[in-house]
Amino acid sequence: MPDWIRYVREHLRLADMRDDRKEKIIRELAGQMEEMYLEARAAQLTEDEALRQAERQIGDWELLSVELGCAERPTQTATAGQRIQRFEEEIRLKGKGWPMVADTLQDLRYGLRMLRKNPGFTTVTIFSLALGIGLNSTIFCLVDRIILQPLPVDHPAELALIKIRTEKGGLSTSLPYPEYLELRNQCK
Amino acid sequence: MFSPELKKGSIELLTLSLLRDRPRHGYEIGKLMELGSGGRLRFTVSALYPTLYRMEKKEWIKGRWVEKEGQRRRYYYRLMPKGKAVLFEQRRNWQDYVAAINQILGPSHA
Repeated sequence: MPDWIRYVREHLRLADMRDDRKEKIIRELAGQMEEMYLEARAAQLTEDEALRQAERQIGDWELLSVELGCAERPTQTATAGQRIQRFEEEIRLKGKGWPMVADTLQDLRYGLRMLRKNPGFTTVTIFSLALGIGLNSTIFCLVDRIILQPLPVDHPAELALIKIRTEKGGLSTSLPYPEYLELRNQCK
Repeated sequence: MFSPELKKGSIELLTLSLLRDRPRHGYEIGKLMELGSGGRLRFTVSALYPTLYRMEKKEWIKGRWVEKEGQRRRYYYRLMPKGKAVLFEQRRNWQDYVAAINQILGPSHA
């Protein structure tokens, strides 16, 4: 009887596969060939005929190698669009108000598909959105610190803005240093 | 003989169905398909084993080596809970599909 493990190893081309997995497949197929060979022998076939019968069951080694390679590849994870579609189908089945939600999801899926189809437009859109959001956040932070939040002093409510009348009759918030000192002394 | 496409579309369902009652090895699964169909359904190794490995990867079935006395070591596959659910779903779909086709074809006058 042929050494089936060696036989399969010589014929099967399993690239890009873990060694333990490769070994398992080789041993399993060798077992399958042995079973077929023994069955043929039990049916009174000659050794050559039994060998040919076992080989016929495999058919095309090249095709088998390709099919096994494909089967062993990691299963593709669903894309975002596929996941939304699945969810959409599920909620559509619930009836009542749910089809409206499903329609929104359908629009979302359409939007995603269009964005994927136009990468240039998508890049510009994302960049503009990022810039807009960033700018808004920065401005809000500034307004919040300067206007909305109380100033970081002990009694912010007692703060006053002092203006002096200039010679031309206008108002000014800048005053000479001696006047500042005088004002400060008066406040004590 | 049935077309390869038709056979390809049913191999998962048939395999899961044969594993419903007890674990079986690849050769046995192929043999049972052939015997159960009166020799009309014969799957090549190139069709059967990649399907088994694909289903094992999806965790529909799980295999392990078993050595029985007086026999060589064989890799037995058993049905997993995920596979049971798929079997239920695929069987229902298949029955619905066949019923729909029969409805269109109408009664045979041959």
